[in-house]
Amino acid sequence: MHLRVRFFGLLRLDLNIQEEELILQVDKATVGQVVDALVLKHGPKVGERLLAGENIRQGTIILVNGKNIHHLKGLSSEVRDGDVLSVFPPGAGG
Amino acid sequence: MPGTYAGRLLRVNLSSGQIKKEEIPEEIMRKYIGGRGLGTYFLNKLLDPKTDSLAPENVLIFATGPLTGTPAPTGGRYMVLCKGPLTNLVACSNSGGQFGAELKAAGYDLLIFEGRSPEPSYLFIKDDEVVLKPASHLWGLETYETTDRLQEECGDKNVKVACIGPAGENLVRFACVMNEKHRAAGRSGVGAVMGSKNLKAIAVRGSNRPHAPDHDVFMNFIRQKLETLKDNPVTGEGLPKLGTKVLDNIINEHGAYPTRNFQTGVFEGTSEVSGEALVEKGYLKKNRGCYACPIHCGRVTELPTGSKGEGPEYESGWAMGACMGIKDLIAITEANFLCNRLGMDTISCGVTLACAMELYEKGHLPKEDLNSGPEPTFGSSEALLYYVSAIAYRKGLGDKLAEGSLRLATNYGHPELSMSVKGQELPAYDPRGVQGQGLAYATSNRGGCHVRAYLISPEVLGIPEKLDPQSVEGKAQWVKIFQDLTAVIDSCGLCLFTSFALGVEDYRDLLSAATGFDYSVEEMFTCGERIWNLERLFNFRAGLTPEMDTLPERLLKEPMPEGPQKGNVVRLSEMLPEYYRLRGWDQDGKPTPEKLDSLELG
Repeated sequence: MHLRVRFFGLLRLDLNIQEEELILQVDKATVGQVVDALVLKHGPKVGERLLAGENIRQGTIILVNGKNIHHLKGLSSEVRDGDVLSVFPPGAGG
Repeated sequence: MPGTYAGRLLRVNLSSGQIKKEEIPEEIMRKYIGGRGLGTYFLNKLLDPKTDSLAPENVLIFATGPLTGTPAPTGGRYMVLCKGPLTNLVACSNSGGQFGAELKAAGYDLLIFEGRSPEPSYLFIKDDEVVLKPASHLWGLETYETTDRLQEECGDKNVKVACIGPAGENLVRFACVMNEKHRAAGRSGVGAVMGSKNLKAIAVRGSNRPHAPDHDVFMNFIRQKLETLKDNPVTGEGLPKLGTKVLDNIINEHGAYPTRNFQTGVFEGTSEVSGEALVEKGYLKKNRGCYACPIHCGRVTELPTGSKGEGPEYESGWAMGACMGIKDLIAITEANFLCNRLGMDTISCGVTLACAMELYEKGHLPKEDLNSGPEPTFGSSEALLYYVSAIAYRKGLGDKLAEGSLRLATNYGHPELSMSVKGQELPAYDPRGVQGQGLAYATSNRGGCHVRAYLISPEVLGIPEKLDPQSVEGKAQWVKIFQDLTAVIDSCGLCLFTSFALGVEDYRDLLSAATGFDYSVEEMFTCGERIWNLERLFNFRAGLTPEMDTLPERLLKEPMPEGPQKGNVVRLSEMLPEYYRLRGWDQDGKPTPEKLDSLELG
């Protein structure tokens, strides 16, 4: 399946990529598996920015088609062909 | 005198020139902590809330907290309080930099100005030496030049200067007080009140840093909290590298990035103006921190035009950008610099200009009122830069804009186009996408504001936990807790950004070790609640009515037209009664006698 992944915040600066197409040789996957695939492709920094151990890091935002995975099934949320993932490492302000 | 307090205040009558140093009772310090709390206490004590905000009888207070000037992380904050000219309610505006710490080192917790100086003047403070000096030669100067000239005149580059620019002198209702050129006590028009008093600046130098009762205990806590802040991804990585402008994309993707005067929540130009873009385009040169700050969120920037300064931060970049439909990052940054030099709040300035643009677009603001100014159309960088300056000097249409969006829109017969609460313009989050933030806006004691309870943190960012932004359940309780805790942090003299990493016990540790008052978390929260209620009482006496706890009609009735929040409005009526009940207020939002007794405010 083909996914579109959009990077924001420090991850965008780390990778110097705004968005990319990610091809996985499966029909469906979880967000956690997509993060693993991104780590394989871009290195461990992606995991360090987004995860704390096996869990999503406090403050990390991952949207699937605009919906925050916190309000879906977290890292177990499913993604399918054509989905758009927006990935933000922890950031805040005021 | 307990711990890190100076234990005294400086009272300056600008009409008579009389200067007095007064002791602050220990019991009052403990009950109101300092900063915002102690300032609110003295504002209530010394000012009739019905006073005209620009009359000499208004009182202007600069207040430090017990942690201001200490090595506690971010311990450099101070507050400016008065009755505000935008809202005619309590005004209480926070700033960082070095000024607050210097004032404390000079030996004062508070500075209180009363009356009006017959001539432009500035106050010079060097420890016990306090002199009111003439400032006619500084009147009319921008803030950067005023700061340079005063340091030169005092013969000391380390003198810290807080001053107003032309906007404050010309009584622009959203003029601010600037210190060290780039740090602003930005909101609510405190600079206009300073201007109304003919007070151009305060120049301060101090030589005695405050000491905690047990230095080792205090320093151990500080080391511990510094570690927590360093290890936290927001305060240790995100804010230092990208500053607050990391939020542009976050809030836009959430669909709550107010665009073209809150007509929608999605801005098509976000990628051009975001915090990431500021780095990628090479405008960001480095970051900078305030006194004792390990976070360093300040942006030091330089444009291809040669202009240099600090900013834009998230709010300023949005107000000068998306709020007016502008996607020209150079113009946005230039306008931010200009606001700093002229001494104006970027948020109210941008939202007022956006209001003018909508009035013009809809044909309510006639072309002849522009005088020789450019057409105020959404997306116009030319209009932005022209009118920012015109407002500060009250030139042409700028004279009407200088009154703020509510007075402007009312003048043209359409008050509903002012995106304000209680007369103060709303900041950079459309509450149709964040229900709890909507309640926080509607109930903020200083009018439209995000830093009285930053519900964006749990509702969007997931800190300390992720809440559903469209649920109203439990939001009243969250708002109350955030309001009370924020009042505590503001009173301590710390920066709110610490709260992304620190918890209530951390503040208790620092506050108790600094003051020697053995606060429990419960007592600390009671102080926060007391301060909130005292502000509310001031507002009622100043003329607040219950129906003012509301939002612009657009946000309550016009569904968000597009994006992730499409179809949503703020469901305020589902949250407000519960909020009043949790506060111990009656159905009109008035604190009950029992509540006031429990807070020792009866």
